[in-house]
Amino acid sequence: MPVPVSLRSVAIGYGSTAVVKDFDLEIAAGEFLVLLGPSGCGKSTLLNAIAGLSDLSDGEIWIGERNVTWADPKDRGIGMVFQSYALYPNMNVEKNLSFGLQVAGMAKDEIARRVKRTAAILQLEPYLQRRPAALSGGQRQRVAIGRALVRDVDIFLFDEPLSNLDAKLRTELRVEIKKLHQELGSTMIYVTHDQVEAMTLADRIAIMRDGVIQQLASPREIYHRPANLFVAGFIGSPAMNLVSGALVPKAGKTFFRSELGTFELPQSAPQSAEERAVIAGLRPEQIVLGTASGLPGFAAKVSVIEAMGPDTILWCEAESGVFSLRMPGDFAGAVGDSVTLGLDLANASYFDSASGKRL
Amino acid sequence: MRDPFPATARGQRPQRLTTARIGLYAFLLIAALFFLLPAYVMIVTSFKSMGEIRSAQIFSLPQMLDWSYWLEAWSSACAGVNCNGVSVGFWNSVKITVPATILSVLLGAVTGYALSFWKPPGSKLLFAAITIGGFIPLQIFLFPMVRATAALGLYNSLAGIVLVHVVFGLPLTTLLFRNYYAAIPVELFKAARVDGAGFWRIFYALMLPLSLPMLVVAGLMQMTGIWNDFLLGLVFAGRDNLPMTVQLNNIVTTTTGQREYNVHMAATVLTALVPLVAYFVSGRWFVRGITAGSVKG
Ligand SMILES: Nc1ncnc2c1ncn2[C@@H]1O[C@H](COP(=O)(O)OP(=O)(O)OP(=O)(O)O)[C@@H](O)[C@H]1O
Ligand SMILES: [Mg+2]
Repeated sequence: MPVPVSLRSVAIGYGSTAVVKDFDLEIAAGEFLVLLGPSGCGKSTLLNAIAGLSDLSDGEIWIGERNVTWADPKDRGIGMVFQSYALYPNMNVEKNLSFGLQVAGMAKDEIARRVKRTAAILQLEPYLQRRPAALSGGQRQRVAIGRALVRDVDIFLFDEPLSNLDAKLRTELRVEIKKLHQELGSTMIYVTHDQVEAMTLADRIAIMRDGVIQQLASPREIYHRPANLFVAGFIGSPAMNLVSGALVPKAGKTFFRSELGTFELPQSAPQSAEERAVIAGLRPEQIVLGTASGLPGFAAKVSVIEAMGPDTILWCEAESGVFSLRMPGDFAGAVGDSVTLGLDLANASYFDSASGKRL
Repeated sequence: MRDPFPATARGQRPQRLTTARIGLYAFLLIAALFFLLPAYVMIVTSFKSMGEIRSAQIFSLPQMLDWSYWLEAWSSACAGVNCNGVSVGFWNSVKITVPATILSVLLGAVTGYALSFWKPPGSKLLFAAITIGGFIPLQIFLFPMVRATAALGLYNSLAGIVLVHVVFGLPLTTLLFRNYYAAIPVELFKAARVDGAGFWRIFYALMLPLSLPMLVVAGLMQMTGIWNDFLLGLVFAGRDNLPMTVQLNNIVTTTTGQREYNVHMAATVLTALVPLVAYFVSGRWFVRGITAGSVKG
């Protein structure tokens, strides 16, 4: 049965330094929540606290109807997959899977049944008698997931489970985790600093910085409507193109004035009654090539072409800086070409220059 | 300078005997001789008759392999008025060394484990105190320890001498195990906690099997130390439990009649034999990557 998790004004620190302060987070039953953020922002710290592996200095943690703030890890109904796998090196795969069940005093035949089922789901049957040392990285990873799976927990905690795998294996296991979530419907909290993982897996993403949530929203919302400059810069590859300028009101309309020129903003873009400094953020796909689109444009020169396969990233140098554009995979062009770039100002994001907050 | 890129280079690099290498071998040879020569003299002497010994050719081989002095050393050499050889001391030493080694190693493993993973409040201070305690010469504790064992009614008893060895061994074994466990990834411990295991379960199902190499090393160090101990055995064991070292000393220093060098040498070799054998037997346990495969590789 999926259960909700609730963190209420949680504070966690090591010694005198507070890593997380006054932290609130409500995770719905059955939700797949991804904690995303740069290294050292407190993701693992938070996950350890939810697991009961480290103490809070303040606040409460609720799992379902129970206040588990002071509960032991084993009483919280959680399974955890560690960044470093943490398989028991002295036990074979079967023992690794069954250890938790044995500790819980489960009957032998029930243990065997569960291990069999888990091994089948994760395709681990051929390796049951092997020690972790004799497994490949992907197999170890699956054992680590199996160890949480076998116990039929309500909540799964994943701490960067795929971070040390090669790209192919990562994609495969990412899909497997997604499938697993769809089948089990359990609540899952997943830590990563890989934005592709975050975007593809999450129901909601919590983007963190220095122990503070910057934005908590669906992947789509986070990508298209970043709440501030930090989120805008953190999500998306290549990063959002930023143009500083000002919103200028004139004759009932609002204009965006920058080194690139002064452009009239459509009604769907933020309006302003007085002049204010802003930064406009445009995704690479919000800049188009050529003047045919009728969008306001400016001149630039192609400086680098990166063919990614399905699409091509174009880096263009203008007088006021470098812009990245996303072009189709079959884009034909050469470095040094003179081009005109058009800005899709209607769909761009606008941030206050001083606070960095979205307008 | 030698040419670092000879045009003929191909396949295995030829071994060259440099001066540094010759020096190194010479040093190792001398070091080996330094330790082996006395052992050699002792062993050959233990087979020689007193007549042969008196001829003062200490490096010469014995004329025949006569085991009778070994037999005498084992079962009938005299220490004062008791003529039972070192055999009584041998069994006393076994009775002291076996429990004291096992207890001090296991207790050290438990305390090291607790300090490394459970980090009770004040564990840093505790560990510092233990470390410092390990470096204070034990003579300082001798008198308080006598009073303490007497108060417990354990002075001059087998249990008493075992207790004393365990207490004096604990700082070292705790230190060894704490540092050994500090190198084990803490996620392993966390995973076991999430799996529901408690203090003792994690210890015997996970940490103890992982510490096999340290158990062997610590066991060996403790065994050698306790077997070779003289002072504590003399002070705490009591007349009936005197360890082999003390009895060896009593035999060698007994001054009735002539000094039977052959018997004394045999008795000494017998006393040294146990740690020696232990080292030979356990050598292969030393180098072993037991944690291989626990983390990403
Ligand atoms: N045992 C510790 N003692 C003191 N400070 C710590 C300890 N563990 C973590 N920290 C600090 O707490 C902060 C958050 O650490 P945490 O491990 O939660 O980061 P993270 O978001 O998981 O980073 P990463 O993505 O690199 O895993 C970091 O600044 C780190 O230096
Ligand atoms: Mg982390």
